[in-house]
Amino acid sequence: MSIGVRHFSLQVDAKQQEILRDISFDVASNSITTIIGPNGAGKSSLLKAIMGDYKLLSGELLLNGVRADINLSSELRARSLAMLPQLSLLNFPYSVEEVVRLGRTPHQTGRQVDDDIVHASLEAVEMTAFSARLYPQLSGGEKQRVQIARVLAQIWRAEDCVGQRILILDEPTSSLDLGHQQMLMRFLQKFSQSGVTILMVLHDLNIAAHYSDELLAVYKGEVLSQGKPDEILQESNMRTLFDVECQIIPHPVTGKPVVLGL
Amino acid sequence: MSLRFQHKRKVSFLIGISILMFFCLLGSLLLGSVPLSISGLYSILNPFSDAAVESNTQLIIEKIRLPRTLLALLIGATLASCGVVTQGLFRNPLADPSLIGVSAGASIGATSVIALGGSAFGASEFVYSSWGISLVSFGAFIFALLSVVLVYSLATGRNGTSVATMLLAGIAVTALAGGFTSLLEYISDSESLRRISLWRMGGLDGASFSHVLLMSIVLTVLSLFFYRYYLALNALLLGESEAKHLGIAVQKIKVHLIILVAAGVGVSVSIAGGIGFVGLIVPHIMRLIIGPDHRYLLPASLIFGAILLLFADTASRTIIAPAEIPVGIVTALIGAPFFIALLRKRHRYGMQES
Repeated sequence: MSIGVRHFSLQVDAKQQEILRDISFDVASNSITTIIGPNGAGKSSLLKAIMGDYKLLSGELLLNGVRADINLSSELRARSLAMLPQLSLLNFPYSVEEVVRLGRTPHQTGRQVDDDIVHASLEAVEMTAFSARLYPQLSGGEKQRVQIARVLAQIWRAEDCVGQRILILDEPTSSLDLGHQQMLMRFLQKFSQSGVTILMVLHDLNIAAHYSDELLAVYKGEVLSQGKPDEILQESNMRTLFDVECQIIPHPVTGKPVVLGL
Repeated sequence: MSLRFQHKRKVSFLIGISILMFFCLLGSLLLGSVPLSISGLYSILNPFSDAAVESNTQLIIEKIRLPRTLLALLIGATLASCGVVTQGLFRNPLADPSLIGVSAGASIGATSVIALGGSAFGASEFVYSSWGISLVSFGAFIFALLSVVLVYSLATGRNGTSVATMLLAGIAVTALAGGFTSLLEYISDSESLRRISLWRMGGLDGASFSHVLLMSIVLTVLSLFFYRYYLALNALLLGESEAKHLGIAVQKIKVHLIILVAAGVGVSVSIAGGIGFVGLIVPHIMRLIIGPDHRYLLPASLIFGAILLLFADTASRTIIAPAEIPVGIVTALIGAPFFIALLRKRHRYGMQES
């Protein structure tokens, strides 16, 4: 196993209900796991908790079976664990290339290596032509692709990283058009096969079903179920999670489950 | 345009403004109510020269103009450097060190020493203590630090220091300090009132070599730390949790930077009074020219801050010579219109509200 979440409980305000309640699950090495669930279920909080952004009520994080919340310094952790946040508020006039280069902050690999990695990550999200443009002047989808390139650059090469590489993405496709959604998901599949464990949150269930090895359904701060996409995408689960009636049919070409709202 | 090409261009820019700074320094030494020639300056600065310079002139340059010029350079550089760091820390290109309550605290300190000290000891004889640092400066510095500590502790909770809360706390503390300062002004006599308003306008008259020594120590410590943290400052522009995910020890560095900014601005303000706009405009202009990368932005702002205050101080001494205008007025009169022009053009530089 590569990521092991054990008994995560999180409470922001002592008077309010817990945001995460005793969450435990595993993500296998070099696989793609997608968290699905309604707004406010605790999906983003769960990702941030894994990144160590919160003081938890309880919980242990295991990376490759070793406790990461106490054994790894934040400097070392940043070399192999990267996260794309849901939205980014960068409004300083960095060039696209400079933003992506910030992803190399945890590494001391020298200018030549960094140049190559920045270039390769920009190419992966098809933003090479924009490298000299100013970040604040880009469109929403272009900004999202630059931020994705930044987290890719952070864990691009296995030899710079300590242990297994892990990529955490909070709604990476939210601003992307159909073509770039597919481009990104195909790239992530290849990237995970090259030795990266990916955990992300997606709202588009069909993309999630098509590209993920496993789905993790989160509801009201707890794990509802975890399994292969066709095990999780069931009409009863959809009713519990989203309070909607829908039909689930196999994709005519790939056979993967497709969720159709009624 | 590759980053390597840009690196060369940015370094040449830094060399260019350093040369400009040297000429401003020279101009500041030569110009004034007692004019001086280059050869005269040379013979004053060179102890082995035996060319004759009128002894009065020599005295004026050595004892008054030289420390004043050096102080203008050092304080301009300090205020601008602190401005860069504050803007980076608040992730807001329009932030200014006064936002975290430093200036407001300093003015309470200075005003209470002038108003209360004036009524207790008579108007004139409470001014100097030791080391060339006046009681007024000391009071300003202590209160500057106190108000930053107050703002900082208001904004620090279980999950670290919230920069947004700091901003709000800074506004509240500034309002509170404004009330106290007005109250003190209201109860003070007309001589103290004049001193208070002169202090607030800011000025470099009364500069001494002990001031110069103190400011050089402050600026050296400050800029070494700031430059050491340039990668962290760059990453912080992305957001605090993003910086943390990049392995930056955010909380520790934030505390260091806030303390250093409070000390830098506190000492500057206590020596030279309220000199506005340097900390706001200089980083802003430099960011427009060479971009937000702190590796270049920090030295560029340091140098350009020195240039701006040298220029403003020389102007304040020469425009209506032999009388002078407080330098705070000059920086505000140059700074504010310039800033208005920037605001009108900001969309062109990729600055947007978000």
